[in-house]
Amino acid sequence: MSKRFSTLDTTRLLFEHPKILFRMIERMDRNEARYIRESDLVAEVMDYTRTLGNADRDRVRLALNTDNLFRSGLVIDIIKAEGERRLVFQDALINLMRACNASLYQELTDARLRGHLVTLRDVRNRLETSSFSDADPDYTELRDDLNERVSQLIGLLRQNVLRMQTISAQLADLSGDASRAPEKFLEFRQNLFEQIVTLYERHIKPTLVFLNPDTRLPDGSNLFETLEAMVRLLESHGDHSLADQLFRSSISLNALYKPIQVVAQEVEHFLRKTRQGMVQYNAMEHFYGKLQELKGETETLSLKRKWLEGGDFARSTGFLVGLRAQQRPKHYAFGESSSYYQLLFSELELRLNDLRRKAEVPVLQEVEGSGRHTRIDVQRINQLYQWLETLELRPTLDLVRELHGRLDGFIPGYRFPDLLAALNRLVNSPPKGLQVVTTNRFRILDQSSDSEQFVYRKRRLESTESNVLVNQEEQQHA
Amino acid sequence: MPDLSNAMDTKESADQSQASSSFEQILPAQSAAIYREFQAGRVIVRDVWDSNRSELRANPLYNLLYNHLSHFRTFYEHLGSELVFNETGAFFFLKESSDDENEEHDENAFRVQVILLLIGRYFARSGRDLEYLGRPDAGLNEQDLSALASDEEYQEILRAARFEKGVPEALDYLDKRHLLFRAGAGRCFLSSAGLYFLQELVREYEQG
Repeated sequence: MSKRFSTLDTTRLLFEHPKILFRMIERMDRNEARYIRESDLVAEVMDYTRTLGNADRDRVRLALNTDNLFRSGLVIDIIKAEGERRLVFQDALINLMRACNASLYQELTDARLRGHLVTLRDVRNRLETSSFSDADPDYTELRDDLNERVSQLIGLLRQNVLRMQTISAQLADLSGDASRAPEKFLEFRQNLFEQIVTLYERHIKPTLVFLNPDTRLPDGSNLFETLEAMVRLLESHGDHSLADQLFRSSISLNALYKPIQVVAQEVEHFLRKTRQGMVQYNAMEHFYGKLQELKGETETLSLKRKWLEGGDFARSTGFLVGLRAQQRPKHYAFGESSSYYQLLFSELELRLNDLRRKAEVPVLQEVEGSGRHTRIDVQRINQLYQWLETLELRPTLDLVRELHGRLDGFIPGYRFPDLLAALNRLVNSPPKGLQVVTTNRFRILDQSSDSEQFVYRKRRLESTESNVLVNQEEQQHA
Repeated sequence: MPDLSNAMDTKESADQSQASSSFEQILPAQSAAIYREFQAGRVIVRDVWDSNRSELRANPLYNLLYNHLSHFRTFYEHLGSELVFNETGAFFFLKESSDDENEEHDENAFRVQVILLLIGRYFARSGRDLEYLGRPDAGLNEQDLSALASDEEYQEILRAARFEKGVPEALDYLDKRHLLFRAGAGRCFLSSAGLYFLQELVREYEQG
């Protein structure tokens, strides 16, 4: 095979078919090895490519060929031992792969954390005797070293926090068998406890201790004391930018404490669970996992997939399938019908006419009640009638409401009984060309001033002319 | 129909008297109240929360449906929907005719399920028994609600399920449907219908 791919294209292919390396990394972690057996890789590639189309199959097989991987620099070493060839992949590639799949993060062990702490302490010791001069290559190298170690540590811990946050799925996995078979629960329980305790003791607790600023260590300062000491050293020697950077890093590290604490609490809760509680926990995890899958589908490159497509999920549980939607308020038919606008404009026109005659508006004398001052009453009613004579009205379905709207707040001194008088007048002597039709339907008019309600029979104001005339008018309006 | 034979006539009149008697047993106002509940997309649960007395009280509409089950079944069948009765969860709901298997059809059910599942998962993870979710004196407290609202993954899922405003909007959605009751400021618990869904998930899981 003479054809080979560039490093970029090989990497691209690896990420297009990430499952191959995901599985290899899983296997590598399980064996606690730093290499992948060539035979395993070949078998995996063969297995994976079986379902691919011809062109893809050849391409993937070629890209994952040992020779191609080695020459493109993704495999940095090939070790021959025990009759097999072992491939050592580039760390950066493996780490990037791990970043794409939270379950591939390596748990931080106590030993690894300690390793980091010891190197940091070492850097601090070297810093104490350092020259703090930018011209001294020893110092600049030390600075670079320090930066790299701190950012490495943060990255590692953050990955681990992410990993730990998936712990609920892991716990559900561990206890799946135990919760499903009630008769074997006790038997499983022992086993389960051991696994969970290992997880807790070996991974979660050390991280928690490592990140706790109050931890006392027998062999020296803890993480934050070490960092603080360095910050002080750098500040006293005037290297403020690095001191600030380090200080911010220590804040980031400190912030990681809380999420891990939450995880620790959850594990503790879990250990105290009864069988029923465990089943509930696992069931929730199981179905939540399905929801996460649906969510994962919305996170692909397709911009159209924004919403969860839950039809299958909903049908599989069957709960409330076919439930009605809640009615939304109906919106007004704004701009949808010409008659709406005609109505609006003619109403506006009438109101404008009223306003133009504002000067002629009669002022009705304020009275407490009717009956006592007959003379005033007669005077008021006459004034009101005169106004009504000149009031322009259009045909309406509800004359009472219309009239109230035209008088209330417009004529000073207008009282509710005036409406009754006005209505009486209009019924007996309707405006020219119009007639009042009293219907048998009742409506309620609320008075805003006091909480009284007026129940009235609906009255229509109709044109006495034929409808043809009305239609003509409407056409003119339009 | 004038051209029906006499034999048919007698049968029809018998049917009519039966049908009218089942209608006569029910007050139109109550039947209308039930219809309105269903129209608003609600489930009718056996016990509803009385916020004035701060206790669960029997829902008269539920009892009416329960006592005249066959009448209402037929009635809603004639209206083109299916009245679904769930005895374990003690609730009724109206199923729209399902001949068109469109997206809309499952949309409401799915959105309800998503929120309930998130609540259930949160609750189980906090180490409590799911039964407590259905008890007015327990349920979710203010702390729980703010914890739910601050979980980023939950927010993302809710947003993808068209709850743009996150947890508060989602809870309102349940509240309006009587799947959840608010038992005071910052407290809420699931109705028997809401809890039924979670219990059903557990049962389904247990059976493998």
